[in-house]
Amino acid sequence: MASDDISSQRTQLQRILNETKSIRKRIKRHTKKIIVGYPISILVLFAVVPAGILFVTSFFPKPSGEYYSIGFTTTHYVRILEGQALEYITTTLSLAVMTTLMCLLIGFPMAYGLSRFCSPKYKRNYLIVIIATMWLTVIIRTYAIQILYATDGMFNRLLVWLGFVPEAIFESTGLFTVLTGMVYGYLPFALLTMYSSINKIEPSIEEASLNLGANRLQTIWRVIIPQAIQGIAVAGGLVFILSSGSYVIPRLLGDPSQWTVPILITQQISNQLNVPYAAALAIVFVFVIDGLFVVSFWAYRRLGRVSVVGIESLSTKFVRVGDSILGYVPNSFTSRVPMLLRAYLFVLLVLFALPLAVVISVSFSPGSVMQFPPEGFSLQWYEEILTAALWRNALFDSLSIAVIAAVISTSIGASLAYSIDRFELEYKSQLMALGVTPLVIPPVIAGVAYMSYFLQIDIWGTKYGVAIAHGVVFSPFALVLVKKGLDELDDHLEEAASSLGASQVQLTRTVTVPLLSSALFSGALFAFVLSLNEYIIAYFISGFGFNTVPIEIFSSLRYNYSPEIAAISVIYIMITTIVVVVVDRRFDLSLWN
Amino acid sequence: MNGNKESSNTKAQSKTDSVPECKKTSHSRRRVLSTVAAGVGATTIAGCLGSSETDEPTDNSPLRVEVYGGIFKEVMDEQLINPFREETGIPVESESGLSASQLSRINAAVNAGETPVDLFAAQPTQYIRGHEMGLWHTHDPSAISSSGDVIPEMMPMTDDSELMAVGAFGVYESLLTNLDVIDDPVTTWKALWDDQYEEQFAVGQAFDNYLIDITAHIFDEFDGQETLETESGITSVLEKVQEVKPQITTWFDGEAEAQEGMQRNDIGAAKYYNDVALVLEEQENSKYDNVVPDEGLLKDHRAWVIPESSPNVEAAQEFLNYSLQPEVQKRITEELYTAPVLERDSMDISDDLYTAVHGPDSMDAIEPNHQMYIDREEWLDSQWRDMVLP
Repeated sequence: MASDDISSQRTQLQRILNETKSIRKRIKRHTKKIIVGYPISILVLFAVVPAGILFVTSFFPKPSGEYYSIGFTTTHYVRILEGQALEYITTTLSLAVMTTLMCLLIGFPMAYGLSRFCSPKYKRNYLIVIIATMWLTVIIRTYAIQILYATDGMFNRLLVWLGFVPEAIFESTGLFTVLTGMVYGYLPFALLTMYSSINKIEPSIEEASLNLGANRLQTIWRVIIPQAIQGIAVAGGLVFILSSGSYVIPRLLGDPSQWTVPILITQQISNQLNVPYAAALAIVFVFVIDGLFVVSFWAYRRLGRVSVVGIESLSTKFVRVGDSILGYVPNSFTSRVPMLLRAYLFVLLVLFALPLAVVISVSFSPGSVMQFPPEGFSLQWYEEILTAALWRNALFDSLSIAVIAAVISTSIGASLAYSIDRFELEYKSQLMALGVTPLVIPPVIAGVAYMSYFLQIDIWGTKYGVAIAHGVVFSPFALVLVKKGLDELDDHLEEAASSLGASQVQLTRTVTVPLLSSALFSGALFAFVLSLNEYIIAYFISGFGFNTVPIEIFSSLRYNYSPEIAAISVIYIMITTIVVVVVDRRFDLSLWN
Repeated sequence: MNGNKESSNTKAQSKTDSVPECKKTSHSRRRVLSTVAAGVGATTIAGCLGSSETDEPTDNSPLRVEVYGGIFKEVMDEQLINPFREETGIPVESESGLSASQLSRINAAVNAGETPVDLFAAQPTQYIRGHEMGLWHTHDPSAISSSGDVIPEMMPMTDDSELMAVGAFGVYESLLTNLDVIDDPVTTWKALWDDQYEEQFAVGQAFDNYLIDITAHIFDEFDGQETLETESGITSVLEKVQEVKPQITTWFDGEAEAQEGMQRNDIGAAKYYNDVALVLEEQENSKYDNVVPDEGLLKDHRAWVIPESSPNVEAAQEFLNYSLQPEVQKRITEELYTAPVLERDSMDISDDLYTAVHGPDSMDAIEPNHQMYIDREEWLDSQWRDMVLP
């Protein structure tokens, strides 16, 4: 009897194991479909469909004084072509190009110096400060820049006191201030991306170049830049996209001659409810941006690729000319490049930390309006925030939305990047284009598109609606970063694991994912930070049931610049800095490396 | 008020030039739905008064009134919200926000059957647009009353002789000077055209900031509102408005931007809200000087609107009636310096205060043509951007 029982149990167990194997085989067979299908379906549902709705809306008529109605008209496009909107497009692109160039020129030496000439501890602390400035809500950071550049502000007073200028030269609004605000806002993205690329270049290659007679600058030119070119290109693309969609910075720091397309779109919707015209503006703008990317991509491929060894250059003649010029730089200078870079890093750290210092000090103002320098010290605003349900709820809602958005964006971006990199697919470039689509749509028009769409599918005014929107809109960051990480992954490691008997799943779990952890976490971090700071999309789809912190801040700033806003920004920074540092240490992500 | 008083009976039903012409809007579908909904609600047994299924506010679901933030909200809480709750027992709370300027969101909320709040304070262009979109509840005039005389233009009527909105407070605009930048107070609107004030002024950025109305009123070559009845007339006024550009350093969106700019001494003078300017002047007398311009204040107002989807209409109407009482209007005027919605004779306030918030009786305020900004909004927006904004 006992042996019969044992035998029957064995049979049952065998059956269960066979079924499990069969399920696992089916999953394995369908794994590819799941990995590819998941991001495609989410992006179609939450990027393509809203974009389609937007496109259709751009043809709806909108009589004066009334809301728009269903119909067909091309008047909005005609209005755009008549000229005024084209000026806004030109202004937007000019600002974006200038910001991109400045971020690359300023950021590359920072990234190189940080990667090569700083101790791990200094590197980590430096990056923490830089990242902390990213978490300063863009609205309050813009205010801090206004304070610093005001007629009576610190910079003007310093220059006049030093005798460099007879009177104030900076203004709190204008082209220079807008560019400053944009660089403050987007340089960290460029820095982190380029730093990540440069850090992966073997120092021994650089040493070899120096030993073979090239000076430091020639080495940077002939060895580092070519190998980091992909990171530089990604950094440039990211900054360009982010700055072209910028609303708050040009709105608060610019005068009307610096107003961008996102500002025009927002004003059309808020002031006149002219959603169809705003939609038409967005469609035209997206086509222009897409066109620029197509041209840039063609130019990049046309000029040539660079290899890991750095032999083939972007343009041989161009590189050689540069090389020759740099060869004339005296050794007394080139030998001091490390020291100069360290000094440069220090100066930029101070400049970056200044707005942070302004906001922190203003948060302790005893008065009812923000004042710098504050005329006393008080903790009342922190007490106000920690006791006020309004701010506690906004903080909790912002953080929870940001966490969910980070998970959604990383899952979409990483699965899409993996599919493009690892699977034999016929439509890889189309998938890549689909993946970056959310990024090229200005946030304000994404907000309006989501508002219409979410009302139809009944998730308007919900927190998970905002989280989904943020997750989709910021997924291109994870896509680009993980794709870059996969491109830079040493194939030999995976080959070695595979030849030692690791299955695909084991290989992915124990080799690929750990090697990609920095890219995955960076992608999640970007989405988290951007979601925390994101105002326009949340404003249009959050409804009236809850407010995120940026919505509360922007709403408060309309009527009163209260130190409460500075205090909530400081709390914001502290929470997010602690989270990142703790997660980095707990999971040993080596983010700073 | 302006020396042009009419009897209260004709005021209740009349439309002055400054009260906008209202287009007829059909509410039949919404009315049927709300009537049915009201009927269902009335027959539902709630179990206790004020459940979420009836139209009475409760402690968990109070009447919500959206007001502007900062000091404005504090004063409204002190002088209107809290006293209303104490005197009537109706649960009510205020929320700060952008109020009815967020029409696109309100439209989405009402269409989704949600009630953002029960009461918004709306500008004329906002309550007119909202009415056209069917967003607001309209009132039988007999449901709204005050023991004082309400200024007629504060009680805009629909074509069906119903109240579209109910006056909340008057918002006039004056000239505020930053004495740290400009020694002598600016006393005339024409200073905006004076090149001695190059890059000193702050004005609102939107085309409906009423600079067009001010220009048409103060220069002899124009005939005030008559000139603004045609596009050619408006264009000629805009050509004059263009001349202010060199004097403008800041085109602000919210008044806090201008206030902050003055704090930093980036701004010497501003076309500003009289009530806020008076508060600033009171707080920092040595820095700010607020004057009624030689040509008169710019006259504007806000009116309460109730979203169509609000379940608390009766309680909201009770709130409106309370807010219209002379002693309540007096308290708000004394603390916020907004102009009252009642005629001078209905109010027991000092002459000095009345003159400060409203301007002297001997001087007419400049009344804007709100309907123009709606009927010609697209054209005006284009022209404004082309001709006036830098």
